[in-house]
Amino acid sequence: MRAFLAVARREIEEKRFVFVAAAIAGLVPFLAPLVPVLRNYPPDEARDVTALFFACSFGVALALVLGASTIGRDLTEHRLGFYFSRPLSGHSIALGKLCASTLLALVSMVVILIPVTIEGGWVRRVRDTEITPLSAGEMPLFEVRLTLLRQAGLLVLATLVLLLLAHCFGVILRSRSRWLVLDVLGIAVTVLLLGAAAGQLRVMQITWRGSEWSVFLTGCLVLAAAPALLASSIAGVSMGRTDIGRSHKAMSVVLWSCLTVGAIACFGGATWYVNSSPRELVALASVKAAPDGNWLAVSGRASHRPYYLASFLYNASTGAFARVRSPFSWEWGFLSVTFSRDGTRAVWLEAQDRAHESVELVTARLDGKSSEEQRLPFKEWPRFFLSPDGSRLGTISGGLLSVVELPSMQSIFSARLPTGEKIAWPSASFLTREQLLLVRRSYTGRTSPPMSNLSILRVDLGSKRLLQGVEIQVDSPDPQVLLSLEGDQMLVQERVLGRTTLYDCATGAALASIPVPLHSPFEFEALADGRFLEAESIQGQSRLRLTLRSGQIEKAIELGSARAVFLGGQPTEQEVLVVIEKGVRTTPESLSWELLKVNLTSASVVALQKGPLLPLTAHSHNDISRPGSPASRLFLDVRNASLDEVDPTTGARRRLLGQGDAR
Amino acid sequence: MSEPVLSLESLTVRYGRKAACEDVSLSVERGAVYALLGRNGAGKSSLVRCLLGQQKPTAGRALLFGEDVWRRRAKLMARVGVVPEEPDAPPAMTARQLSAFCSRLYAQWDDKTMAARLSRFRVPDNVPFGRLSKGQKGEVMLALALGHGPELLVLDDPTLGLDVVARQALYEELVGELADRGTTVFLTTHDLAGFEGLATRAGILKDGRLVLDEDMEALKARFRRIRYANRQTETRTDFGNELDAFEAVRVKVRGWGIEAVVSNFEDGAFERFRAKDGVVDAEASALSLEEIFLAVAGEPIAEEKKGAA
Amino acid sequence: MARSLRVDPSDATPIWSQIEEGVRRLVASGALAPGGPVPSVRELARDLRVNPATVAKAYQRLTDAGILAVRRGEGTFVAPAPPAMGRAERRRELSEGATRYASLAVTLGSTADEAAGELSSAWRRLADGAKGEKK
Repeated sequence: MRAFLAVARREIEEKRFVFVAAAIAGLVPFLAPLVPVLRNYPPDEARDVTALFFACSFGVALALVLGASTIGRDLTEHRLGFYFSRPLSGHSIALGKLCASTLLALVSMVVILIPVTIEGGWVRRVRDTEITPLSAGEMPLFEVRLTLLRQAGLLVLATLVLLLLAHCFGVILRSRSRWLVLDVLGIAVTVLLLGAAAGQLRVMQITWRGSEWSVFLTGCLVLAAAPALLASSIAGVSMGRTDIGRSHKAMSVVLWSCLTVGAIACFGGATWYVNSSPRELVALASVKAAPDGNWLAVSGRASHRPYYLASFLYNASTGAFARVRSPFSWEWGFLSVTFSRDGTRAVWLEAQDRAHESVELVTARLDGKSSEEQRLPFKEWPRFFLSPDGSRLGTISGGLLSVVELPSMQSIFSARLPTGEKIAWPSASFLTREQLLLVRRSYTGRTSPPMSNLSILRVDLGSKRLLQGVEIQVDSPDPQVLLSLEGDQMLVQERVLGRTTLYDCATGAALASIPVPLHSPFEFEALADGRFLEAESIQGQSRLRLTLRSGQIEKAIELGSARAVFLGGQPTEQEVLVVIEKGVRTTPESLSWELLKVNLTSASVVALQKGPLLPLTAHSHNDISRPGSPASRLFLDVRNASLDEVDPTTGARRRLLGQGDAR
Repeated sequence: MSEPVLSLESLTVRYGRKAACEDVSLSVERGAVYALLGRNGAGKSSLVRCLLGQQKPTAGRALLFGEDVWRRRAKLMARVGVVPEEPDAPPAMTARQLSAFCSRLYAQWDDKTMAARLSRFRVPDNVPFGRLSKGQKGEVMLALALGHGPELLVLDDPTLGLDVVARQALYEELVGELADRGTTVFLTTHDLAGFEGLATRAGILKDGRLVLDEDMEALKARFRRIRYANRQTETRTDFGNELDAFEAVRVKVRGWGIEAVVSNFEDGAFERFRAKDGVVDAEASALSLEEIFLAVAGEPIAEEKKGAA
Repeated sequence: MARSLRVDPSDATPIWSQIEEGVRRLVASGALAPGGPVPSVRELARDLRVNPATVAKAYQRLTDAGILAVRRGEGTFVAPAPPAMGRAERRRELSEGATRYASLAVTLGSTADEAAGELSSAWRRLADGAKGEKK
């Protein structure tokens, strides 16, 4: 300690003039208001800003100059022998000189700011700042709060790092030894590894919010290198002693070992971060089950990995899984993944960048064990659907309907479709492997009925023809459309008028009109046998209503008092699972849920489970699940964000995914 | 204590394939004054750097007070004073500041003696080191080296570039140290005449190898120059093997006869030599250290040949 | 004394021996008066530019032989009455000195007469010198 202090003191004594220069520089800001450029600003602001600018430049310049010369020049001028001939350890020599130089730079900065502080409040202009990087969904991921104390700490660290960098560079350049090769190699390897780590993390789709976040991250990396820089500088002096070539060698070896290890750790950490498994999922964000078979698409947060949505295709019975690069998102109102009805193939969207300017449609065949992927690039987010056996893929994008054979990707059919702001496709699916049925909605632009035209288009892949079917006018700018399983009937919900109408798809005739509550929750589901099931809750009473094929209400099954009802899957042809929600929404503690098994024939209602379970309900023609399929038994526990399975016979509940590692 | 103050054990320093020092072993006892001699480029600087723990030897080790100096340098330097070949004190510091700096590094520091020494040398203590003359710089370095009363003093060519007055001042200071404290001294030098009287032991480094390592007295006793003429051989200037007993180091054949520097002289053997047939006008004279060095470390010149023997 | 005492490092004789010889000579010739001061080890070593240990060794031998005496706190002096040597010792000393001289002479290649002649001249010179100094 004594040695270190003696060396540091000597360094500072030799360079005392720096403080004098700083004191003079500290008076210059008072002349700032006289400078033409700054005359438009209030004088005290001009003064404060000039002082801050001077202080920073002075500090940076001093750190660089002192760093490059303090030890480096002693080495080239063979003056280090003076210290090594005395009872001073190598690290006291190095640390003494480096700390003294850092102190010189920092104190100079303070000295420059003192005169202005006496005058007034530059302190006001520097305040706690926050750094908030954003995620893909524009939600702030986290906030880094930089209090004044932390800013000061960072300033000290940054000065030291600048100094060390200048010193290392100085030694590397002055030594003219062939160890420069190691340095070049070291930089290349480190940068490559860090780049690879960043590449892995791009999957996280963290927004680079302008320069603030980039600067913050780069700054963090550079500051994280500080221990390596310090250790290598000390090693250079301790091991190299009086010879600059040996000093360079020792410094480079230590520096690049540390940085390479650090970069490997970063790479390893990044790889670990994005390579979780479904069993490590703690909270699920979105789940979709295949209509048949055991495969699921699931996104959620994995344990110990915040700010990242891990996404998988997961086989609930074998535990096999495949990682998906982009999280499944609800961005366009539907989940960006779909399965074939037999559960053998999945298709999903992967965005290449946050702006989703280019996406890829990825399709994979789901075996028991693994999956192989094919990719299709798109410039616009496409609408996509699979044939029931998963052998064909249809897409609508940019006004083009295209059908390809899978897995060969051979194009079978393509046709131009009308496109525009007022055109939407409320339903698009395969009826069979050969038949497509599309429902097009054209918004007329009028505010009074009729507001939209619904057109049915059929495609026959065998004869390769696009056939225009019937047109229906509806009084809704954006009607909800629900096709029956066979595609022969269509429910159209005109919410504005509180009316749901059943149409015949072939003739376009309105078969029945089903009144629905205007301001109460309700939903419809297409059953496997072609009928429709409605669930509603009016004035606190919930019930199910079953329609006939003609559209008439066959029967209503009372479920008891509830404020909302959610329709689930069918464990058998005759049964359906339903979740009712009771309580007052404004007080979350008062909410309670019940899972009920309803027999549609006998109208019996059996309570299976209590708990905030939501069914993975089918909302589109593609997703109608087979009665008895595994999907019908799956529920999302919204409180625990976990995936549970409920046995419809016994009511036993089993957790499948979520709350992994108890974090 | 029988432990040598300084010792080198098979010290080898190699730069790539070139060897600066090869398998050098020597030891210096307490109180001795060891003069290491060698031509420029013989490897002295590398040896001294290893000795001071400033360079790690390729093989072998350097020990001070029995401890490996590369590993324990900082601790050992508390007992050593070093005067380097080039004065390396920070140029901006004055002698007074240097003294103050050094005083913080050692357990004992004799400020008064240092000041007395400086005034004796007439070195101003408030002039930055960089502005002193070469002689004054050397004096300051010596004063700094002696200020903590070291047990061992290491000097690397201390009289290089000094004028006669400065050199004399150095000799006197050294003698004073030796007389007052019995300091052990290890020095490298080209000023053989100057240190001849002070050194108790000498070593000669030739092409990285220690070809001679001996007490001065013994050295002086066994080296002689012998001049004679040989009448027995065909020409007066050939010589046979009569010098073999003396282990001739260098033989020069001159017009008048033969001049040989021998390393194993003995009075009785010389008597027998003189009495030999054909040996005429034989004389033996003692050699100065410089002459011994020239004979041992100089390059052989063309006309020196062993005759047909 | 420094002026009259010289050592030649390149001489065949060891330095301590040269110093010892020199002091003996000076004492014998009267140049160093009995009881008078002699330079300290430090001073003489400095003047001669030799290792003080060497001077110390010579002084030790001289002290042991009774030529010099050390007075604590005061320094080294010529013994008040340098001892008269015993005949046997004196003969031995002379014999040793003579052998050394003879060896030197032989080395230089001189004849016995030449050597004896030189010896007489030197004796006369020393005697004259001492007389001169005593005056």
